[in-house]
Amino acid sequence: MDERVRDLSAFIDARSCSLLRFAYLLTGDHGLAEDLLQSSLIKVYLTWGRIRDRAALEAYTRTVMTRTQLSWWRRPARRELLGVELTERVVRDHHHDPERDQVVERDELWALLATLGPRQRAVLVLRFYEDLSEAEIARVLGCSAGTVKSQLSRGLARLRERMPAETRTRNTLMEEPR
Amino acid sequence: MSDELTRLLTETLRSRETDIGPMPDLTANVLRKGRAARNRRLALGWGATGVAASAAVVAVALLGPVGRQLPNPGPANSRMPSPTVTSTATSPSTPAQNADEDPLMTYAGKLPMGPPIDLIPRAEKRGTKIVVVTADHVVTLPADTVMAYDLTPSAEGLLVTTHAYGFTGGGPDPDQALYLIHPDGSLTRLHKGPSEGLAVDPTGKRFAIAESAGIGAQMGTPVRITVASLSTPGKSISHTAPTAAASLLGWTTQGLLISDTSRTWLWEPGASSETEILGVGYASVMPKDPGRLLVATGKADNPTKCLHPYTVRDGKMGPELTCGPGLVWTVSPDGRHVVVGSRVVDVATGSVGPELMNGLGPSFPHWEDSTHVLSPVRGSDPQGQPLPAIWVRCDVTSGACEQAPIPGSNGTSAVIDW
Repeated sequence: MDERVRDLSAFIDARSCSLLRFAYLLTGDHGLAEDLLQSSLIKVYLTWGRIRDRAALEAYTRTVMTRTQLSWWRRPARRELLGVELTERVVRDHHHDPERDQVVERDELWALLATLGPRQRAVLVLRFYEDLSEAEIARVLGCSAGTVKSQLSRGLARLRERMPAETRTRNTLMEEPR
Repeated sequence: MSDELTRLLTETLRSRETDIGPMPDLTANVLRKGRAARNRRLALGWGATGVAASAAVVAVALLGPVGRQLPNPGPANSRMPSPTVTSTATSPSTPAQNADEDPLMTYAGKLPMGPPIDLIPRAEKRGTKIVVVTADHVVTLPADTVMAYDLTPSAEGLLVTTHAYGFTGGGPDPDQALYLIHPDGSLTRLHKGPSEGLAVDPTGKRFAIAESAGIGAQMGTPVRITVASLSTPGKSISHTAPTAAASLLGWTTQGLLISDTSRTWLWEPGASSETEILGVGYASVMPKDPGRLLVATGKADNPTKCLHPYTVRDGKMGPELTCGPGLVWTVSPDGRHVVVGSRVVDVATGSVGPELMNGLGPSFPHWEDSTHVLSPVRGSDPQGQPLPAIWVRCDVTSGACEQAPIPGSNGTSAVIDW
């Protein structure tokens, strides 16, 4: 079997669920996530001969996914979809149940993430899900560390601003970023 | 930074992991589509950043239903590096080996043999080197060149765009270059860095290049259009295009033709403003008549586009020639015929001619003369190994097709563009 087919198949079989989760966090939509992952893997297939360090394949694939997602967003139709205010307010009752509150907060924050621009969202996902440093994120996005820092700061500030007051108060999210 | 917010954010992101289940058939789909995309690229001779191999070929980006359309994995929507062109010689007698996967290879393999291809100029791969064959010289391009395309004549010589080996992690190729091959066979590099199109003015004395942002640049950095004299390329004027997605499509009598696939406009070098061609998403300059265009009209969010002739001086749109989703077209050197997908359309009358290659192609034809198109068909076997290329020649007036061997091939050379 062709080395490309063999190794890429093994990689997809082993890592596709993890990569799909990443795609879902980047896009916030199941269908888009599947499209993003498949398109990105096709790009990986096409560039296979140039990927010298196979150990870095997953990191490379995530880079491709991130950049592909950003390039998709630039398309008008896609922008229209993603620009839609997706914040479905979760109906709260007034009987505080800590566990339920947590779920509600996560749902709220997830909905708020959808209101961010794709770069801010990508930076937040790379920082707080992938646990990458600012320098590593800069490499993934092909921009400066300063840009990453400002996107990170603005993204968090925007989430904080939009977070319902009740959640902000409970979680003391009012402090300014340092 | 707010620890509480970041903690909540991390928890939120991790909590969404359970939303995701496996994607059935992902591996098979990636391999199948990847193989098809690679074959298309090899057939096209696409370069390392996905720039069109043939300036005459125009593709309108296909935007399907919002959110559900898998973007074309081919180079029109990608800046990803592509594999080096495989050095496979034409071997028309080789039967197609992957009939189940590639009906085009099967079709091409059964065609009768026609006369050989003998085109000047052309780019070829010879061993590990890329050469450009002109009427008087065989010019070897710099050693790190892996791809040469967009051979464009000018008053000062032949322009050729190249890519060198470079893994850019999905970004623009910093090793992309533009060379001028002088009539004496000497080579001058005019530009280095990623670009999104080249055009030569109707006099052949000036060139324009759309310089895209390099690695490390901020996303969304606008494309810069640089215009310079071919005889004194150091003196140039620049213009910043309004978007990062702009690409240069050609040079008309009313200035440069630029598009970002949703809008198309003209810019006269030195002018402070641009002239938008309203309602046009994409266009190409008619060969030998820079005062006329073929334009694709249609709404940005509707994949169906319609093709019309267009006169730039008075902005007059001609009758509709054809309509369809994701129009891809190429115009004959005499401007009389346009091949849209597999169909031949008469530009003057709009009448539809024969369907080429049983509707299987030519996907991205090269014109041998004004009535014959050539299409390289490169497939791979089920294991992904490249099969020998078959070049197909079709007569656009009759629809008849045949194989077209490359003369003098010793098994190591292959025409990659002209």
